Amino acid sequence: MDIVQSGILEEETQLARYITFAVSNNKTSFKP
Amino acid sequence: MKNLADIIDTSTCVIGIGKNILNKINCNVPELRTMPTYSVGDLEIPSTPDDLWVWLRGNDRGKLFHQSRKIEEICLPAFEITSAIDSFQYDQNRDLSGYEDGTENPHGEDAINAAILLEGDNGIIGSSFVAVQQWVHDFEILDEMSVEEKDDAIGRHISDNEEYDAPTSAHVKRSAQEDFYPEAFMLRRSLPWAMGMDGGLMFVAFGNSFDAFEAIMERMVGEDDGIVDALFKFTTPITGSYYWCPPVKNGKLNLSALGSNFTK
Repeated sequence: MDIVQSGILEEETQLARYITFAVSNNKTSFKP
Repeated sequence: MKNLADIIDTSTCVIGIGKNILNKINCNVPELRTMPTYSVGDLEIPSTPDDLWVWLRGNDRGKLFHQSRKIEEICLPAFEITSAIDSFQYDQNRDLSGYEDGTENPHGEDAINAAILLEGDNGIIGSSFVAVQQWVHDFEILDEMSVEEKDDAIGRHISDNEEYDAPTSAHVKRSAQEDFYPEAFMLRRSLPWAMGMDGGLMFVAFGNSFDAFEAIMERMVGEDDGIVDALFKFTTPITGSYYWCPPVKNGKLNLSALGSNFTK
């Protein structure tokens, strides 16, 4: 499955950090 | 986004993209939508969409911290952080309630079939969709519940993790993935979280669509038969969001579904 983000299928996780982001309010338009 | 795609190691960092970003660039990924809200009596189960989700995995909290700083640096100023939550393994796959979590998780080919979109165009095949909720436990209520009451809420004995003939409201009965038609299999990657004296579960479930998650949530809140999952006696989700996890090509995130501006 080399077309998959492999972390999804990894069974063992000891520690994790979840970070969420929002598009910054001071940007009038989002660019790639 | 391109810079982020270039630096991440997808074995230790999983990226999810929210629908709001796709709307901003007039792009559509089939199946990606906004998490619905649900009601359980007076309790509202919220939908709190975010634009980008980063799940860092590892064995060293310091390394995770510095990795997250690097990702923040790349994402600024286009994005701003809305939350950063550390999670951990507790006593071999237990939730902070003390019960084992993820017992019915699929493995191997079953996990791939449940979590990964195995058909579609280049840029879509290999995708996954992830539902993320931060659940907060009420530990005072848990402390007051007897072992029997807690077992009945979960549907398993805490002593040996064996399922038994528990009440219909037991969580394992409300959420038994094989009881749905079609079967509602998801690949759960949840972990406990704690901050100060608060704690709970970061519920993370990957699917080849959000249909399984929504079918299970509807049954948990009793939309079909009015029976509410007993889990809500001691825990509540305070966030809820959906993300599309792009596929990978040549070891890098494949953002071609977002258009030519996202590819080199």
